[in-house]
Amino acid sequence: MIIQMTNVCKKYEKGKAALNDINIEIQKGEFIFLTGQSGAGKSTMIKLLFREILPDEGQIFVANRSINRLNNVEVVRLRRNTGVVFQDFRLMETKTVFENVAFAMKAIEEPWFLIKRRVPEVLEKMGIGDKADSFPRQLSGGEQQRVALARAVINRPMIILADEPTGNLDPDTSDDLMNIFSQINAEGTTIIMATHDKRIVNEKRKRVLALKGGELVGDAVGGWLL
Amino acid sequence: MKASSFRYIFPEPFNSLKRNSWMSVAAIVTMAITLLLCGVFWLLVMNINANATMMESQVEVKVFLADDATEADSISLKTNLESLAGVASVTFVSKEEGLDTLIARFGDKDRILAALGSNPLPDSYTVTATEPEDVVQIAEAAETMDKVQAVRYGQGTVENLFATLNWIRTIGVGIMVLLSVSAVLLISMTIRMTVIARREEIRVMKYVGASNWFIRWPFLLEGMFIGFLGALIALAIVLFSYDKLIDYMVQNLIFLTYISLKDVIFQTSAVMLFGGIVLGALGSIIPMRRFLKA
Ligand SMILES: Nc1ncnc2c1ncn2[C@@H]1O[C@H](COP(=O)(O)OP(=O)(O)OP(=O)(O)O)[C@@H](O)[C@H]1O
Ligand SMILES: [Mg+2]
Repeated sequence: MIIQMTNVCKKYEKGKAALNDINIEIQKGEFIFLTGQSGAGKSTMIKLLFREILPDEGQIFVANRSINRLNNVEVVRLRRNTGVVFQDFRLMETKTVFENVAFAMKAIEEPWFLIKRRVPEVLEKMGIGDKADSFPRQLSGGEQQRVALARAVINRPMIILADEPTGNLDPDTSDDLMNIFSQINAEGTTIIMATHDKRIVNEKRKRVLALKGGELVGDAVGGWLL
Repeated sequence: MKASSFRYIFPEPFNSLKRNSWMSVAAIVTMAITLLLCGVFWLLVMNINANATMMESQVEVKVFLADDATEADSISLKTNLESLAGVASVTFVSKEEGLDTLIARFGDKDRILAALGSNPLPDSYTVTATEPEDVVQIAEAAETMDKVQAVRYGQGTVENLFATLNWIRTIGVGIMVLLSVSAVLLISMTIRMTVIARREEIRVMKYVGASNWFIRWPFLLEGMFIGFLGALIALAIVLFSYDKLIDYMVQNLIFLTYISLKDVIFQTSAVMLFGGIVLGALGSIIPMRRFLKA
């Protein structure tokens, strides 16, 4: 079991809970879709998993360790084991594709010879090997998201968290990107993807966790549950 | 953090200096002015201290006899002075000898005599104390004795000098604190701009699990580098102008001692460069605490 949530509640300021009493278990190597309408709590769930925010109640375990109380070093270790991808890519506009991806390796202090070797490999795998020297604004949305994905996987994390990675992409581009996710998943990486793209969820036939108003209302393998 | 990772960190402060060049120049100039004043002040205090120490170490008290003192008065005064605690020796100086000493110190007998008319000096005793601390006590006792016109000793000057020193010190410290605060604030504004310019990068670094120090070092280095550059400029100005200033002072105020630059160059450079780096580091800690929370 790589991720476990027990009785997790999260409330922003006052108002009703963004997540209420969530209990889930995720095995290593699973591909999970987090579905639900806007405001259901998908992004909140993703943020809890890489400890951008902390739960008000309940425990979250990653690799059998509670992440509720971590010191700085442990937070760093958690982040290195978790890659994140967002709908808006979050690339650095002044850096080239190569530099954007290399930046993630520099940040965890990998030696330069390794960076020079691994970055082109991963860009190749993402199908953007020829874009290394381009700047993000010179790329299409799909290509930018591949750069973001390359950056998320470059340090070989155990888990990839993706918050609506296809949200800004057209169907064909989305399919290409989903194929890359499937490939990464096939290599053993656990993937948790928040999405409200019914078509993708129905086609992939993976485990779906359905959220509604902060409650977990469905957990099954198959199509769109709501 | 690994030491080898500094190869990724070192270029960042230079990128930032280029990116915020005007802000950086302002911060460097403020730092230079601050440290220049600190340096000038430091040298001033050292010079005053040197003068004070020189005078303080003088153990002589001059006791001048009243004009109507007889030979017998003079002899009994000598006995009284010798009986005081802490007195090492008592030497008689006639009015002629006194004038000679004065001439030896200030030169040109004719000019002095012309100015004074006749020799105005009374006979005197030069009392030497065993310890500098005894001087005041001896002088006070001598003042109460019969047929004594006046008592002079270096201590009065020393006390004035120390009063001046304290005064300069208070004002100087006040100005330095104000300037340091503004230098630190200007550096922190510069670093803040860098933090804002690198907001995206900081976020990515956090997401992928960069250690806190890996994230902080570039900002710390930038502040320290600005401080260092400011200190270099200030130091260059001090080194260039000190000798010229002292030359001028020596010609006009001959009776003071001056510290020569080569005696203090190491200390002064160390203090200024270290001060610059520390202030720079302080300036970068402020925005880091605010913007780089874990
Ligand atoms: N930073 C925040 N401060 C206050 N409330 C928030 C914050 N972030 C989210 N919420 C609220 O929490 C609830 C869940 O939000 P969340 O972003 O998790 O939804 P979501 O499922 O990701 O929606 P979407 O599909 O639109 O991205 C919503 O009601 C939202 O208004
Ligand atoms: Mg969301």
